[in-house]
This record gives sequence, C-alpha cells and structure tokens, in this order.
Amino acid sequence: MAKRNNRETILVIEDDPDICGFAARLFQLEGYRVLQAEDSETGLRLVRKKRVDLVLLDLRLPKIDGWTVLKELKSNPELSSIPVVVFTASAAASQRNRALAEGAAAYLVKPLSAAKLRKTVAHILHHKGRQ
Amino acid sequence: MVSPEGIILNANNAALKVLGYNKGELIGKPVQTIYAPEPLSKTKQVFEKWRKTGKLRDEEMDIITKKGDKRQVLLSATAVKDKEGRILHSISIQTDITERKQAEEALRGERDRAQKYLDVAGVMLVALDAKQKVSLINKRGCEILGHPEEEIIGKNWFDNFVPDRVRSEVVAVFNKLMAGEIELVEYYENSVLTKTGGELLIAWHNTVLTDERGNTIGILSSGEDITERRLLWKRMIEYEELSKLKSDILSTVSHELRTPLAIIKGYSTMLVDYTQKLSSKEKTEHLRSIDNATDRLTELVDHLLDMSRLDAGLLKLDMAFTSISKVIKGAVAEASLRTPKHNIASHVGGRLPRVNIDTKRIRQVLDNLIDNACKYSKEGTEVVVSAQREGKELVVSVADQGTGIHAKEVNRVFDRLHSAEKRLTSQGEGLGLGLAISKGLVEAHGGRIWAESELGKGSTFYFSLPLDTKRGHNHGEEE
Repeated sequence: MAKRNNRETILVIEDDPDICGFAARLFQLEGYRVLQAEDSETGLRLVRKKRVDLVLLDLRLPKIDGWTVLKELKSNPELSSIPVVVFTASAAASQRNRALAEGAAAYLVKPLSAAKLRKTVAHILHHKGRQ
Repeated sequence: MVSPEGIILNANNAALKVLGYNKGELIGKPVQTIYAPEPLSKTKQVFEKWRKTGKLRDEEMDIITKKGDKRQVLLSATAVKDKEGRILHSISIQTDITERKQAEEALRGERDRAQKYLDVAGVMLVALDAKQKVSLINKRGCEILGHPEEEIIGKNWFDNFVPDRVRSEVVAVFNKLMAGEIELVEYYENSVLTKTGGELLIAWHNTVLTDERGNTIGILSSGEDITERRLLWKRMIEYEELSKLKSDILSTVSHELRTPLAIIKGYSTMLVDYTQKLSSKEKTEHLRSIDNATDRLTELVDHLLDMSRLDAGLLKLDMAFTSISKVIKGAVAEASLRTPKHNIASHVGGRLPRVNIDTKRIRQVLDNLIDNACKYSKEGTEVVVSAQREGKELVVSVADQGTGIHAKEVNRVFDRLHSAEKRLTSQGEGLGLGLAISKGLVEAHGGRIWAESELGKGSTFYFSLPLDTKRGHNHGEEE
C-alpha cells in the first residue's frame, strides 16, 4: 500500500462510460491511482479537493465543455502546473493547435491504442517529475 | 417683291443691306439667286406652296449674300392678287435669324454633349422635379426601365416606376425631402418597376438640386442595377451556409464514428496487452463493451445510409396493408424490454382500418419516437402510444411526461441543420438524425409529422398516414 500511495493520481473527465471505464482501468493496470468524473463540474471539484498529477480531458462534455475546464485549470495558479492531456474524437488540426496553445500537454485523438495512451501519460508524468 | 414666275421685282434697303447687293444687281433676277442651292428642293417647295396658297409663314430658309455667306432667315410672304384672283406678285418679309440660330445651335450642341456624357455613364441618371416628375433620364436609365425616353420624361416617377409595395414609403421620404424636413439619404437601395412588370434592385446615390436661392427644386439620382450582384451574393451566402452545414455534419459524423471506435480500439488493445493481468470475467465485460460499440457503429452507418437515401429519393418502400395496432403493440413490447424503467403503454382506440405501409420503416419511426420519449423523461414516468382515425388519415402519437421542448424549437427538432447545430455544442449519443429520418420516412409514406410540447410537462409527437379509402374498404376493417 505504501508503494501505491507514492504513485501519481490521474483524473479522467469523460462522459462516455465505456471510454471512461477503459481509460480508468488502463491507468489502474499501470499502477496509477485513478479518479473519474462524468462531467466538468465533478471534475473541477475533484481537482480542487484532491491531489491530482494529470488530467485526461474529453472536450465534448455535457453542460460545461472541456475547453472551459482547460481554461479554468490553466488560469488558476494553484492548478496550472497539472498537465492536461486532451483525449477527444475531434480530429481537426485547428482544435489541436488551439488546445496546445491553451496549455494542453498533449492532444490525443480517438481511437487510440492502450499502449499509445499509456506511453503518452507515462512520458508526461516522467518528464514532469524530472523538472 | 417676287413675280409668280419667281423673278425678283423689288427689294427694300434692309434686304439689300443684308444681301450686299445693290438694287440694280438684284431686280430681274430669279429668286434662286438669293436662296441657297442646297436644299434646292426646299426653295422649290416653298415657292410652290406660296403659288398655291398665296401665303407663307415663318419658313426657315438659307440665303446667300453677294459675298457668298450663308445666312438664315424666317420667310413670310403674302400674294398680291388682281380682281380675277391671279397672283400679281408677292410681298415677303425675311427676318434674319442667323445669330439666333447660331445661339440655338450652340445650346443644342451643349445639350447634346451633356446628354452624351449622361449616356456614356454606366449607371442610370434620373432627375426629378419637386412635383415628382422625371425631368431627365439617360440612356442607361431607359435601358433599365425598358421604356424609350419620351415615355419617361414628364411622367410621375413614383406612380410609374416604383413598385406598389414600397411606393407610399418612398413618396413620403421624397416629399419630406422637398419640404426640407429631412436630410438627404445619400445612399439607399430599392426596386424599380420595368416595362415588362419585373422589378430590378437599384443602388441609388442622390444629390439634391437647388435653385440660385438655395431652394430645393428636385433631386438627381444615379442608380446602379445590383439585382444580379445581390442574387449572386445571396447564392454565395447560401452556398457558404450549405458547405458549413456539410462540414458540421461531417465533423459530427467523424466525432460519432470515433467514439465507438475508441471503445473497440481501446479495449481490444488492452485485451491483447494485459491478457495475463485480466480475469476472464473482466475480459468478457470488455468484449461486451466492444460488441455494444459495434452495434452503435452499425446504427450510425444505417442512419447515414437512410439519410442519404432519403436525400437522393432512393429509399424503396416495401408496401403492404398492415394492422397499425399490431405494429404499435410490437414496438411497445420491445421498447419495454429496452427501457424497463419507463411505463410504456399503448392506447389504440376502436377498430382501425388497415394502412398501406412499409412495416419495417414505420416501426423504425415508432422506435425512434418511443426511444426519444424515454430519453427526455424521467424513469418511472409514462410514455403513451396512441392511434386513431382522423378523416382520411390515421394519426399515431407518442406522448411523454418529460422535460418538454421550448416553443421556438418544437418544430425545428425535425430539421437536420438544427440537430447538427445542437450536436456541436451538446452531449448525447448519435448523430441527432433520428427525427430527420423519421420525418423523411413518414413523408415518403405521404404522411406528416409534427410535435406539440409544453416545457416541464412533456411532449407529444404525432405522425399521420394517409388511408387509401378505396382499398381500405376492400381489405375491410381490423378485428
């Protein structure tokens, strides 16, 4: 248990239960602690309350969309250091550029293999740990 | 004085002074001596006229002086006759009008040159006086209106060349302008009425005409026919909207396809990469997720195909006389299995005639309406499917007790554009094409589809199917 507590926590904000379940399970299998939120409000509440090391963020979400969450996280000095990985079904280059310009650490387009998602997240967390 | 034979008998001093001859040189000579040879026929003609009528009044003639200069005169003449009525000689008065003619000529030249400037202008130029009458119009103006100049000049502009629907408004503005009550609107667009009864859209630039004391005496306007340009502009906007719609639909389609693909790709690679770590129970769960995702994909593909078939008019209906009660009961029974937490009931009133439908397609419409009703209402509430005969139609309704639809939106829900707009900004599964497809399917049957809704109380969706009364009788009524 002691070892597990040292591992990073990933928050998955994703409204599709199957995709949310897949990402959460994958990160658990990789030994991360995982928090899940089906909407932006829950996600923002969790990120303020708990220690979160990385956010996996869908863009098209009910009520408050992922763009708002990204802006909120990046404009809050206490939260802005948390890397945000956008995981979206929007493949448009303009969206990718916008997300990266607004501070996303990576922009991943669905569908994506388990390995690619795992490696991207690991790379970002590893890189961050060294800073 | 001239004899009937055309011989000059006498001339006064004034005439001699103008012509530069002395009396001796002129008397006894034919009249042709002093009249210009060209047009000779004119001289002959005038002389004949005098001989017949004994009178000439203000005939314009060219005369030649001794030096050979040409001068213009107005010739009036009276015949002096004897008792038997024979012409003895004429007494003629010639007024030298050379200077006046030259001034007139110069003015005409000036006017012609000005008209030429107006005519080469690519725009129409119209001047109106204070009484709304056209005082000037150029060639382009005549072309645009389709009338020759003489049918325009002096006519009331507003009565003749402005369409009925805007006339009173434009006249009011013009009158206020003439009365000095308002400032000139330097640019405006409105239509003119052409000879063929058509309308052309004109862009006007206006200037007020004033007299030397600064009083408004009319208006000068230049107008450009922008009908074609405006039409092209409209088409361009429509085209832009259409391509935006297409691109919205495409990005929605792409998004909707990628979501189930993400589930398939994610879980299948997880099953391969972590096969040792996953229990067989968990593996089965993931495989079930993959299976559901493929169903979602299949449904999306079906919807896209239906929509494009409907768009292209390629949908084939497999028509047969069918009992609508049976179709409704079947749909309700299966929907109750799909969404067991809603109370789905059917109320089919009385004996209904059989309808000529493609059962599979009408069932698709019913499933779509029932699923929507469940989606937008709370668990535990009722969804009621009814059918009744209304005149020559059979009307089927699906009523829920859900959130309802805003009055402004209620009939836009069948609009594909609307669903595309909504899809881009909100959640929910699928392409949002369900109602657009239902509409297409009902209309392909010759029916109508509509909705009534109250916010907070629920929505009722209706569709009608035409009853083939002649065949309906042959097939009898249902049990």
